[in-house]
Amino acid sequence: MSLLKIDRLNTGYGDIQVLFDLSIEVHQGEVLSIIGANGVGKTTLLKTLSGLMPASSGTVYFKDQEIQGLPPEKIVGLGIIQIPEGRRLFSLMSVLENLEMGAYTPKARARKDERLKEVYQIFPRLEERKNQLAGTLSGGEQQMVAIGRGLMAGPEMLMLDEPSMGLSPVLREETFRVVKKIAETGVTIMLIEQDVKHSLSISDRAYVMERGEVVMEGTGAELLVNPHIRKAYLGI
Amino acid sequence: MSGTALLYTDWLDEMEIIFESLLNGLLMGSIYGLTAVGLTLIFGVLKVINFAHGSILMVGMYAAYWCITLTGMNPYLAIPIVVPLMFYFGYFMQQFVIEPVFKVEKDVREPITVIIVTTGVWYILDNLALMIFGAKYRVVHTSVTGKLFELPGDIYLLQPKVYGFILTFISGLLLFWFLKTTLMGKAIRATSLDRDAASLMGVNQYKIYRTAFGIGTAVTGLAGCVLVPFYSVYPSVGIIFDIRAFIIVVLGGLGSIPGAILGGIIVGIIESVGAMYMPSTWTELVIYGLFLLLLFIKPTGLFGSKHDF
Amino acid sequence: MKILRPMLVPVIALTMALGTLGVAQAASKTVKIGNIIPLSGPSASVGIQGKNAREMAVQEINDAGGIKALGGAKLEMLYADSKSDPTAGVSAAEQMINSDKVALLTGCWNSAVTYPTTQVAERYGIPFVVPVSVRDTITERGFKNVFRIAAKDSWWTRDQFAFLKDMEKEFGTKIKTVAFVYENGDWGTGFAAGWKKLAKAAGYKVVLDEPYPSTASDLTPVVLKIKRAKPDVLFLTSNASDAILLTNTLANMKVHLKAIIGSGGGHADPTFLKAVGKNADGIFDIVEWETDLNKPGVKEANAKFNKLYGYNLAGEAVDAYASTYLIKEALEKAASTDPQKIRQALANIKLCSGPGAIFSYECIDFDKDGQNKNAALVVVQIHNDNGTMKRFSVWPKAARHAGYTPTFPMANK
Repeated sequence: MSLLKIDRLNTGYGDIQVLFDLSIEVHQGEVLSIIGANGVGKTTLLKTLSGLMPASSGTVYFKDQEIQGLPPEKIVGLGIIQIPEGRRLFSLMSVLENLEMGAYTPKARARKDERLKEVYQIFPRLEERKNQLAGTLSGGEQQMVAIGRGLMAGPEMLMLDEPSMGLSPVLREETFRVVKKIAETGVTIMLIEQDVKHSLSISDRAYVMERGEVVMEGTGAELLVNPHIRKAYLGI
Repeated sequence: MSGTALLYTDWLDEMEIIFESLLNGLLMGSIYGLTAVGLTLIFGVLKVINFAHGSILMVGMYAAYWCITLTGMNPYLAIPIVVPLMFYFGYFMQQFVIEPVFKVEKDVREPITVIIVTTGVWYILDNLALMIFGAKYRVVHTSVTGKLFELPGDIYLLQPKVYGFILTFISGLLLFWFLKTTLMGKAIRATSLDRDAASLMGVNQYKIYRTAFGIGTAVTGLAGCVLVPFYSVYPSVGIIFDIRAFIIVVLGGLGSIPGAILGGIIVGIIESVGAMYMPSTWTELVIYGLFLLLLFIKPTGLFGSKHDF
Repeated sequence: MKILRPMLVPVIALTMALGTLGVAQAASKTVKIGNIIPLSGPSASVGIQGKNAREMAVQEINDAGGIKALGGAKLEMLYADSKSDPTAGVSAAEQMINSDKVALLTGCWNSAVTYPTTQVAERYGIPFVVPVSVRDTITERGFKNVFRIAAKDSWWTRDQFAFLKDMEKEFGTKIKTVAFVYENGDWGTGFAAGWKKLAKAAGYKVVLDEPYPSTASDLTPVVLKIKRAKPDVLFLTSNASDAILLTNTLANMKVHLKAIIGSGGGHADPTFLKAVGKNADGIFDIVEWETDLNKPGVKEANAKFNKLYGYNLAGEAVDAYASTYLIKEALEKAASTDPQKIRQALANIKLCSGPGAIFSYECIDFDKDGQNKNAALVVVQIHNDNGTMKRFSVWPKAARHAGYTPTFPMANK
């Protein structure tokens, strides 16, 4: 079943158009990867989906409801949660306060305590450091806070923008393992990644973007063995 | 024997006067800090330099003046009336005057047009006040006006200044508690740290801006109430405190409330004690000099952090 | 295009003719006078008083038939806000002379503004009447177009010290130490320079020389310095808001002195007395004019002004009022709006009577430098008269309010 349907989305910054008639479908419960080089418009796509910037044309359907043009707080209220690129933690607030901010909406606030327990189960280190200022944590720990913060909102669809960026190989493997685990609880995942190998290996489906458009689509397994992908993105 | 006794009493007199000036600087400085808190809060959250700040202080002073003059009430009882009024004044100013401009400049980090708009508000408010109230210097005689606390050693502290000092700290603590523990307070802090990330948490940015602006104006309204028992009210009174407030905000760190209060006290003490040793026109220079020096050493101010500005 | 070309010359000629007709028409209907005064900023209070006084005079003059020698032409006052800023004053003068084509200029209250602005008028040959700006050098530049009604500031300081010496004699009190506290603008520093010379000549010891910024937010440090210096007499030069602040703080901090002598300006501002009340009891002030002056027309003019605007005339307003009548006389004498002729008329005029002659001396009469040689000063004392704070003329002895004995030294509360 289609959870999110993006139909011919166009948008950009002022005179510079970034997305060109982009059409993407996300099925309920799947892990979907969007891969592409820097600057193809992946982050712009997420910003538009989250309501941080307007679309110039096109429609976005979430469970058959049109959501393009809605303000960010309404998008969050529908259960579409983004974990932004570079983590964007509230550096001068504690780990606990960051997690609490994740459960800001009234709906999420109601289940705050139980979700906090779940997050601590996935990331026990965060409970140890709950009163530490988020800005003083290591890169890997900050990543945990970012993901945990997203989970606190009780997402239906979780959009992760380059979660493995800047992490050591060990932590990167760990990140993808956690994402897979979250997907297994029923959360639909949209994964934006430059680490093509890992993201394709945990994805059900994937789209390849180049210069603001979709150029290829297929299952994770299919794309992993695709010669163009292997040459352009896996350096093989 | 009598020669040294005379020297000693002279020295004692001198110490008493210096101590008196130190206390005056502390009291007056805390009030300066109070006038700066609203400005620093608005900058910290909205990233906007509110050039209408002095005019807002003037509005608060007139509001307090009329409350007291029309009803003869105790000046500090005017606070629960003036402060909420000023909150809404700021809330609606943000919503109807500044927000439309904000929305047009959504992607700009520190919107220049907003600064121009606040400058426009400054001119309009000051001239409206001149038109409506005239250039007259108004002084209100309250139950605490001119009254003193006498300390041993011929030291006099003006009562309204002491109450101002107390109110500054109470409001500082209240603000701290609000920002630290309440949901709205945390949302305000989050927005000031990273507004896009806060949006992704479901925080309505515009509501936060309005609330923060309202709180900033409310605190400035409190400062107005504190000043009215011992300061004359007239349309351009805001300009005098405005310049000081800007220096204090930068000195204390943009967006830092404790920084504003501490910065105010430092300025107040330099102004007061400094004047004992040099012509009072020079103390302004010293304050500006210190301000520039601090900017060289720590550009983000005493309590400012590097992250956002 | 070809059709229009032959039409061009007659069209231009017609426009020019209509233009000059318009100008000639305007000249016969009104005489434009430019007034550059502070209508906002720190001196707004006194600037607005000057404006009101001019308006009252203009209304009277126009209602009585305007300038008869110019066919009943009415006086038309144009106002520019100097904001107490010299650059604003200068550009206002340029505009009023070049665009508005005023016949005369008046202004600017703040000496710092008057000094450069009169230079502009001198350059263009437009007569400039200065009702009040005390800086000596305004009429010491060999200018031909500047006419100042008020006394020079060196006359003010001279008279302040003459007054003090007379008080010492009259009440047998010896004065040893003096303190000078003054706003750090042109006006205050000018007075302070005069005071220092006079103190030396009179043998007083200067225990405090304290300039302060008029826009200071807290004058307690200055008052503490006065308290520390323990002078016999305190000389002050202050604008209204700082005069209020200083007077209240001096009273609050219980600073006791033999005498406080103000220099007009803020101390003479009507709002000063309202704002400080009993705290001003005993303060001396030197002014050009006081409401209890024993001269015909004074009571009536003051009553009318008070009715119109809600407060009494003061030195500055009186000079502005008189300057308007002076200008009327000059225009009548010149029978022309030609600046040269007006200037000539002003230089030879002697205004001794009429509604405008409510000043404290006999006549306005300018010397070859454009200075009114008769300008004189009066010292008053503020006194609590049965609950109302009033100003009583005390010096020169001949001008003293009948039945009033000054309190010297000041009573200590």
